[in-house]
Amino acid sequence: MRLRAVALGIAASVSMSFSALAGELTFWHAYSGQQDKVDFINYALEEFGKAHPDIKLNVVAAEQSSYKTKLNTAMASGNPPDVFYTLPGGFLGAFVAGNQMYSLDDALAKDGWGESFLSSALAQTTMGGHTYAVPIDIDSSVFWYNKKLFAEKGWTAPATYDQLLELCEKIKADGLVPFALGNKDSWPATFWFQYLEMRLKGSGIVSGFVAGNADATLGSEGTEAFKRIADLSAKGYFPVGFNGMSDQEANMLFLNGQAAMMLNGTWQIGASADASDDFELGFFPFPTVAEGKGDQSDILGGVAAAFGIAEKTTNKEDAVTLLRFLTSPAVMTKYVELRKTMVTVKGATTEAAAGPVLYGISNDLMGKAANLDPFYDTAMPPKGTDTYYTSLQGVLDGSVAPADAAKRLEEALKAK
Amino acid sequence: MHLNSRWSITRIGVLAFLSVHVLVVIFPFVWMAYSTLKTNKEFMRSVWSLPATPSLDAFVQAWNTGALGTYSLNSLIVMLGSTVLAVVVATAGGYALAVYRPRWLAGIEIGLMIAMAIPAYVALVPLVVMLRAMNLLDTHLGVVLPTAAFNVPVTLFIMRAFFVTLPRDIIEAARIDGCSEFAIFWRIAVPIARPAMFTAAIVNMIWVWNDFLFPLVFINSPAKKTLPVGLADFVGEHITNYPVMLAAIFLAAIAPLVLFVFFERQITTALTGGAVKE
Repeated sequence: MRLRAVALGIAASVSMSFSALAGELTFWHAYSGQQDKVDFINYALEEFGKAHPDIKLNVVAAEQSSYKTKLNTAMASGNPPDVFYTLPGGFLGAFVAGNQMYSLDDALAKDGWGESFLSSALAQTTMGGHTYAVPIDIDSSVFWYNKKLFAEKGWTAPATYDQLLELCEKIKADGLVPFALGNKDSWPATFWFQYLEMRLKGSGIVSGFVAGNADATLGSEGTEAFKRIADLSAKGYFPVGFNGMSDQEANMLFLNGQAAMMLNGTWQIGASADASDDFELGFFPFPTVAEGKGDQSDILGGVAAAFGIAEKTTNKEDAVTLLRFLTSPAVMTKYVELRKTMVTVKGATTEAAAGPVLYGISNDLMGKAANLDPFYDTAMPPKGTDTYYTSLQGVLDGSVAPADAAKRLEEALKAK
Repeated sequence: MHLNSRWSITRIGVLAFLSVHVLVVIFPFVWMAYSTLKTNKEFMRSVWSLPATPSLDAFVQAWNTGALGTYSLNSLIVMLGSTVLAVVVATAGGYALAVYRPRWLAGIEIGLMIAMAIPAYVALVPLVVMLRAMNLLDTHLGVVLPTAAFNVPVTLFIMRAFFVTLPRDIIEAARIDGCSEFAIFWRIAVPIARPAMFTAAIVNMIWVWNDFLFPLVFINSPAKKTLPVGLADFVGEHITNYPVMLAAIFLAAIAPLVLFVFFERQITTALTGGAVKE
């Protein structure tokens, strides 16, 4: 495998300076840095090579966080790869705004390719009525709990927010931390705000701002959501020093039984795979909020990654062939099997491939949810995300008043 | 006072302090070494515990996942290339600024200061455009040139600071003896400046060895990646296999360690050489 990667690399270096010829594509992806990601992309590219020996791929891989820098630089310098991995929302939006993305509308209309995707997922890569990338996987956020610990202590998963608060008191009285949270990178706490806003006011709030709806507002619910988070923090339901702790460090508290619950994404399934035998992963949906106006079955879930084609690409036909191959049911089911992540292609998240926990979330929670609300922080334009992160950290450590945080966020979202 | 000079209280105190210090400094390395022998499960259960059944699996996986040998070699090429280039340019430039004191010296210095203040991020896009025009994208030379350019200003200041202390009498004497300007530089100044050049080179090497941004953006081929970029492949976004990552870091640290062992004397003399002028 390594030899092949090296060979591909040498080939890539030779052809890099020329624009891709017919039958040849530069392909950039961020499936590196993790065994399951590497296994998936190796499988997909190998199968592609067998199915389409006439198309030569020059593959460039980078690890997720550095990939963004690399791709942004390539796009800004007018040197985009032909087919590439991108994030939905604001990240893709910037490329679309710069007229750098090829519209996939015609291709998706052919042979029912477009129909094979969940429409809620495709909506997240569609801007101004045109689809600019095909969504691959869906991350969702739910409450995770340690089943063995709950059984031992006689606790039950709460259904309402008030029950959740009662449970927290019990857990604290037992000397444990109710919620594992490591908010150093700012994104882990966002699920709290978004779920509270969704329960209190409803789904689609931030999407409304992004779409430029004049009546989009966080409402008084925004302040209320921040207030509830400040309360949780003031009551000591999060670990000591959580704003300086990484998500992975917080995860250790959870896996070692020092913290009882965690509000986190579906990647928790993979992160719990190496836990000790005293741990068993369970999940429950974010509890209902009695006075909330939102649909209480809504789930926070959004497209995690997508693939697009650059407008500059000369060989668009082969590029579409590659995208169709990557999003074919067989490849997508393999994706579910290897990565334990839900995918956007209908019917590909099978029980056999997903395993019981993921299938449960996909079937019982997402299947029954009235709405899927995409992750606020990736849907927002970058400036809004910064404000969102800093306000939330401030509310959590008590340095920013909930009302001020809501006001700042509202202004940032209106400014676009 | 009749204290045993070998075991005076002060001496024992100093030794005790240094021993504690050494332990504190060494512990992370020891921890890293024994953690590589654990499984990820064991690591997750307890960060401090010793491995129950030591296994070298992490090393095998680390070695198989990336191409650590290739990455190291690439790092070495980029490091030596840009260091030599930066030090050569800076030595000549520092000498000229110190010895000839051009009329626009202040202007040059301000220019260099401004150049030092430019963050590399700002220059990324123009650099990619230039490198592409020169057909240097995805080549080691394409990393070496901008890296050296960014390191020249600081290196030049180090070299100039040294040449300023060079007694002018030596140069005057050489001139009177009919030595050409280039010969004065090459046969008199450069040999004297060797310790300073070594210091500058070491500072450069450390920067370049650890540099992440330029190799990340300018290099595409897996076979040309440098160590920091290659090692990033071991860090997952949400899940990290710590023993494998530590094993990779451990293997990656071997090359600089060997270099240090071989050049230890030169490095320590170089670092202290400029401190006192005899």
